[in-house]
Amino acid sequence: MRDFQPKIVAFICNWCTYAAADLAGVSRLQMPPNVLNIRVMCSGRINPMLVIRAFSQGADGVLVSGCHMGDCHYITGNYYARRRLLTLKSVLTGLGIEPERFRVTWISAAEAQDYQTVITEMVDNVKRLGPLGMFRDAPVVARETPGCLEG
Amino acid sequence: MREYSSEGAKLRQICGDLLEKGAVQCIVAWTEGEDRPRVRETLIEKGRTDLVSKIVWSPFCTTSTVTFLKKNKAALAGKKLGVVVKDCDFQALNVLLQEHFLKREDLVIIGARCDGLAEADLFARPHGADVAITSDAEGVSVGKERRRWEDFGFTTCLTCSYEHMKPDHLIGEYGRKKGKPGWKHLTRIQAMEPAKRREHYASLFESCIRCYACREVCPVCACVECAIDPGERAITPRTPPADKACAPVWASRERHISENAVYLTTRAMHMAGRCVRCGWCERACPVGIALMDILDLSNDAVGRIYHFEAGRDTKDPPFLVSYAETDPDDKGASH
Repeated sequence: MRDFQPKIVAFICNWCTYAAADLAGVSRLQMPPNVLNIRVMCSGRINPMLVIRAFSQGADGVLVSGCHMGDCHYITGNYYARRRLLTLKSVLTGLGIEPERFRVTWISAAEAQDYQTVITEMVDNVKRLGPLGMFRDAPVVARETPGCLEG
Repeated sequence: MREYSSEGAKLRQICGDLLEKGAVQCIVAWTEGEDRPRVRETLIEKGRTDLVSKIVWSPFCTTSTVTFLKKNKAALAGKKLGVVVKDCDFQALNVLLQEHFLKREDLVIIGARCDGLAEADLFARPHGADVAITSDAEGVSVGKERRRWEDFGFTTCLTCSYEHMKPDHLIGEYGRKKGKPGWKHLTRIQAMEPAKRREHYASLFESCIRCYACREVCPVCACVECAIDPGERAITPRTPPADKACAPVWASRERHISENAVYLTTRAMHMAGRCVRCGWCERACPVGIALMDILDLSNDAVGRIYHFEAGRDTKDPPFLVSYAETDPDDKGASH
């Protein structure tokens, strides 16, 4: 049997983490290909329902990454995101979704290394935890989509 | 020992005065009918002295007058309105005021201090008007019949700690010490392994039949358009593509665990900083889902991490559309 390959959905901010992911790719940093990056204009755009929906549709882990506090392109977007998403994290943890499966990070456009570290840690952790399996029989989104950044 | 007939008399006097002087056009209050001690919320217009004489206050005033306001918002719009509230209704009213769903200047709020609620069905009915309703630290009595607070199954009342109502008129005195919110059920669930917890919540999600009774009965679920079940924007074969694009299907109507989970988890998130723990959703649920198990996850986070209490003050900004620079970060958020 093949190893369990987790599916991670990453919502990343156009102004920072997306650029960091791009830089990581250009710099040929090695990363696991389990991540599906979704570019959004701001982490403040992340409706908690997007995260909940990702989990219910078969994601084993979700990452939301935006700009450092004070660096938001829209001034305060990430402050709103932080409160919302960490409340969501408490709820999800309470439901039994391990905290390692849902992470909120702040990675600036220059921090390609941090992006690599977060992705690697997350894939390792989720691999260890195994499939989520909470929403069994859930319609599974096609698994063959590779991460857009293959080392 | 707390005697409710004198408090009721005071309430009738206040309401009668307000209507007579023209301070309000109508009043929403609980009234008693033939089926004493059961009550219902009633809209009383000026001149209906027959209804004013039926206004009561007792632990059997379980229904929410704020839900009544929410449901009848269109009919009541623009009217100067008196509303009788108990503690949890007052909190819910504050949440709606924070969100500008209602205008404070349109309302005269009459608060009734509440020791907890009781189920009229557990008592023999009907009782005559001369039978006294009393309560104390242990329970509620109607005449000689007596039940303990624990018997009623109003678990949220047992952990209610709200006692800072600031309405325009206030009646009654607390007859028992209110507890700290000790959420035993949550502690028990949180002590489980994550996998066990998932099992517990998956079983709750699985039994949901998506009747939306919890949404309808909730005093603060007042969105014009529900994101989960957008009735106004139902998609038909004639819906133009542009409208379809504007109506994302967050959860399909299919009764499936993955869709139910989206609904119930979203509800918990939506209620963050808004849930007043009245417990009505749990009581309204036809399949007996322990909805407070889910909602208290966000209530707990909001209280513990952000020290925020729903409906504490009208001037508080709504929880989810505000932030503080001191809000905590996720573990390992920055490297």
